[in-house]
Amino acid sequence: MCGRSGSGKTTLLKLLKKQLAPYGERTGDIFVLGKKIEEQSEQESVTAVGFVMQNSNTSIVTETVWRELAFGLESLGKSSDEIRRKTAEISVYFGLEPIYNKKTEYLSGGERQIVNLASVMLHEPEILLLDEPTSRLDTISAKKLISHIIRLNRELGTTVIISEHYTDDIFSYANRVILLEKGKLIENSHPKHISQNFSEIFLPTSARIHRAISPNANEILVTSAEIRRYILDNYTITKNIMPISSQPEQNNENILKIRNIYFRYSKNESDILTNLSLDVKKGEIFSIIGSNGSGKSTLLKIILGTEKIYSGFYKRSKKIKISMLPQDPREIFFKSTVEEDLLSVCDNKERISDICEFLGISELMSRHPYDLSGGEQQKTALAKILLTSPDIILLDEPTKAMDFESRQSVISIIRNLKKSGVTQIIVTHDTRTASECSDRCAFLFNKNIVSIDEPKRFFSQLTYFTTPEAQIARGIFQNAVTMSDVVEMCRKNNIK
Amino acid sequence: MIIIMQNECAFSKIHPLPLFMWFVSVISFTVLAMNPIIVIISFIGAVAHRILVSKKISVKSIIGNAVFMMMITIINPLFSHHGVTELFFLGGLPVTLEALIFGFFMSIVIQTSILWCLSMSECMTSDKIIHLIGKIFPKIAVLISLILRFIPLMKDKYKRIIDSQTALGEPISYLSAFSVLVSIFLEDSIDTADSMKSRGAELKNRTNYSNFKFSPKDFCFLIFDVIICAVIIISIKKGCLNFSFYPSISEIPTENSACFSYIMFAILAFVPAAVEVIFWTRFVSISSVLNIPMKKQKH
Amino acid sequence: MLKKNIIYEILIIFVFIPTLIFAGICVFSDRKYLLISFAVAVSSVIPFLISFEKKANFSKKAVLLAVMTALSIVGRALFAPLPFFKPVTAIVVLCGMELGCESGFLCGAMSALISNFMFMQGPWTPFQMFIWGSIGFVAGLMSGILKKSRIFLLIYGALSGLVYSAFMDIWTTMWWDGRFNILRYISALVSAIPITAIYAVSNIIFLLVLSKPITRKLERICKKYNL
Repeated sequence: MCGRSGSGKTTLLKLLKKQLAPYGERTGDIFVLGKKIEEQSEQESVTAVGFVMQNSNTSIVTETVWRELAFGLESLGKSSDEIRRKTAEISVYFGLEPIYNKKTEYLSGGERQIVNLASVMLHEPEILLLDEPTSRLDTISAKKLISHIIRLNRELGTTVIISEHYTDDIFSYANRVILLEKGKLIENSHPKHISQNFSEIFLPTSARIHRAISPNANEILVTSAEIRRYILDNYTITKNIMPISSQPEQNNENILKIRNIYFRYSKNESDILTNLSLDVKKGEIFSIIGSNGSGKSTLLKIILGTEKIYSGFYKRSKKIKISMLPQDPREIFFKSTVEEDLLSVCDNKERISDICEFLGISELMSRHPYDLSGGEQQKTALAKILLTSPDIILLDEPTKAMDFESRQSVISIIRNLKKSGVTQIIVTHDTRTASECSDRCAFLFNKNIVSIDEPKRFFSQLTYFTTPEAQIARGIFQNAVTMSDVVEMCRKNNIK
Repeated sequence: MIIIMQNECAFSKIHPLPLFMWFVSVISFTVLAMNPIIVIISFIGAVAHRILVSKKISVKSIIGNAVFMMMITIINPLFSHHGVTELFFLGGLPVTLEALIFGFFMSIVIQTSILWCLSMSECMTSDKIIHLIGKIFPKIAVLISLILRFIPLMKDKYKRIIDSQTALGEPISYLSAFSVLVSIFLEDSIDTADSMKSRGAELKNRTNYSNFKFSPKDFCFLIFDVIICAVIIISIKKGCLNFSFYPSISEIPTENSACFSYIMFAILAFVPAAVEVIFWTRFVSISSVLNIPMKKQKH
Repeated sequence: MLKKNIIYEILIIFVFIPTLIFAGICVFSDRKYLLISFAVAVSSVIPFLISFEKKANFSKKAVLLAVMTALSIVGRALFAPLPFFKPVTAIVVLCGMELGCESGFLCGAMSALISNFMFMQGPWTPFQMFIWGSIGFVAGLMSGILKKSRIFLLIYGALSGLVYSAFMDIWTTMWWDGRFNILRYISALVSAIPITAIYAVSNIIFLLVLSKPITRKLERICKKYNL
């Protein structure tokens, strides 16, 4: 199921499960497994349909993994022996054995989502609903989760309805694709037979590239392999090097110098970062890529100054002001309206309205910060930070859980901020964001920086952990790492 | 305030029910029996268990405890003026030997019960308590699980809030950060409630699952505990263990029936320490003494 | 009008338990005081546990209660370096005021039980559970007045600090002798005056700072929840 944020996907999914159905008026009928939803018994409505939510952190209800798995079965009144047997077998099925006794506070996002999935599947529902389950996960965990879901569909025959913004991993496995827009059903067809109306932002990367280079084609190419085949079959490649634009910031002075730093949280734990060195130039947009748990957020905290290194050299001038946009923007707000919050950091009302216009949040002034959508909250938090006139802004996963248009909006804000001279350091696992807006990228792995380069060279040199577009262009076009790069290179070459 | 560090306690490997009953029995008799032999046995058992479990003896804590006990010993005669042997007069009221001895006795009682409570804290972990409560009140068990789930999340979030707000420039007061914490968690509570409801929390007839299975060994502990408690209670009722400090110190009961009770109680008090010793001796052998690794690393 | 459950609970706390204590004094020999009071504290919790099992709208109530209780426990841990400065009473009072008597009692009792995991479990736990629970319960009974008048709320906070201190002193006195010694009790009360004062003051401070934000947010959530 695809659709913009606010198109009604979550509402529709929640309506399919009696316990989650939102309050309000509904006309029309919903039939689940042949029965009207109002006629389901309490137990049926729990066990017939399983629901996995977007936020894995708030979905977890208990303090250990095994208790979380047992939760659903306890509700059904099952005996301890049966619960023991069932949680054991599902742990083996999903590979949860190593974390069976772990406390839920120590789980990574990916592990949490798999635990949620397992806990829901213990009811053996015929229908599994998933509301953007991978949007808060890093790419590798997302792929793992999707592979589990596909296994469930293929081995158990579970009907799966999954709503997602980025469909690269899942499009080729779908039997049907639905598109919602403003609460209406726009499209309902097999993935290969999608009409031209289907907005391309929901198509997998390969299909989008395909549409961009041959707009009239009827086919939908769903995998990277297919589009590679298509390009190689249909284009004579003569020009294959993407030119890299010059970067004037590289001649700027360093605003941050980090040399050979070591960090660990406490004496008894192991190092998080070892012998790490990094320079950040004034006015540049610097991205740090790495997998989940590689220490990216820790590095940000060290740069911010809230954590201290135990060895090495970290120099920053006292006059340089550093601020951070946290992953959860709610941590920054503490008043009941946006206006009051912004006024708490800056008295100048003109300046406030300028910045709000710049970010596009002027209409939100009287709203409660917690009532805003994720993207609006982030922009408001950014406004608050900008009002304090920082020299460096650290962005922790700025495009997390965002749909395509919100992400583009954030990227354009980042680019615009650069024009006003602010240095930005972005930490993300989203290779696309990094490739589209950075001046330089760094790869953090195994407690150290493994490579730093200009994004087109950076992602072009990587084969496995890179943008989907770079994977498609591997060996065909050099330095083509974003969609516009690949399309541009195709257009430069002649069709066979 | 003390934050308890979890030491591994061999005695905690038995089922929660006999474990809990065992500790309750020992502590109850220590506090209620008012018999010096019982109390001394209990004291030795508690100290032995603490040392074996924490595997180190801290001079600081010994001195601290000794000072504490001395204070109680000295304070009692200032309040209690019964007793025949007057030592000296203070403010017109007699300070008696009996009161001093009683104070000393109570200090041992209090110290012993604190030591046993420390041991109990380490052995009775949260999942054991949830097991005991959950068998009768499964929804309360859910409540406790929820609370235990939220606590580390809140601590982490609190730190993040302080970090994020200080990064804005003005350091935020603890109480304001706490207020933000309240808002965030109350907002998220809706999602958590949904997650519970969708997995059937509202259904009737909930059960509670635990990893603990009752084995014959646990059954033995349970029966032993019940028998020993019965024996001691009967002898207390019969008056075999009677001892009084006022008006004068009575003789320590040493008849056969009293001795039998002492032995029974000694079993109660020393079993936790004994279990610890037995458990660890299983793993000690010549090879570990000589520092040869017992198990080859799997390749 | 008060629900049947609440009348039952009031009877337990204010009628049944004092009767039990009185009966214990008359029947048992004096060294069993401690045992009786123990039994009383534990048994007072039981009816609340039973009524919680029967609640409707269990998920929402349980989560809100868990959030409030966890907040009081985390608050206790956060302010641990400042002795006797605990937000627990304030949050229990606010919980009882906003969510009802039973939730107030359970908030207090569970805060005592679970925070003692992190601090120290001891024979005082049932007593702490009882007194904090009762403070929450009574806050629920008086919620009308407390909500209307801020001053009443602060007074209640100060009073509960006094009551908490006085009650725990009863416990310490009994611990000493195995029986209740009036003289010792009075001296314990007197020597604890500075501590009692700190309790009262800290409750007032926490209530002053936290009452508006917490009440506002709870009301907002209750509206959103349709509770």
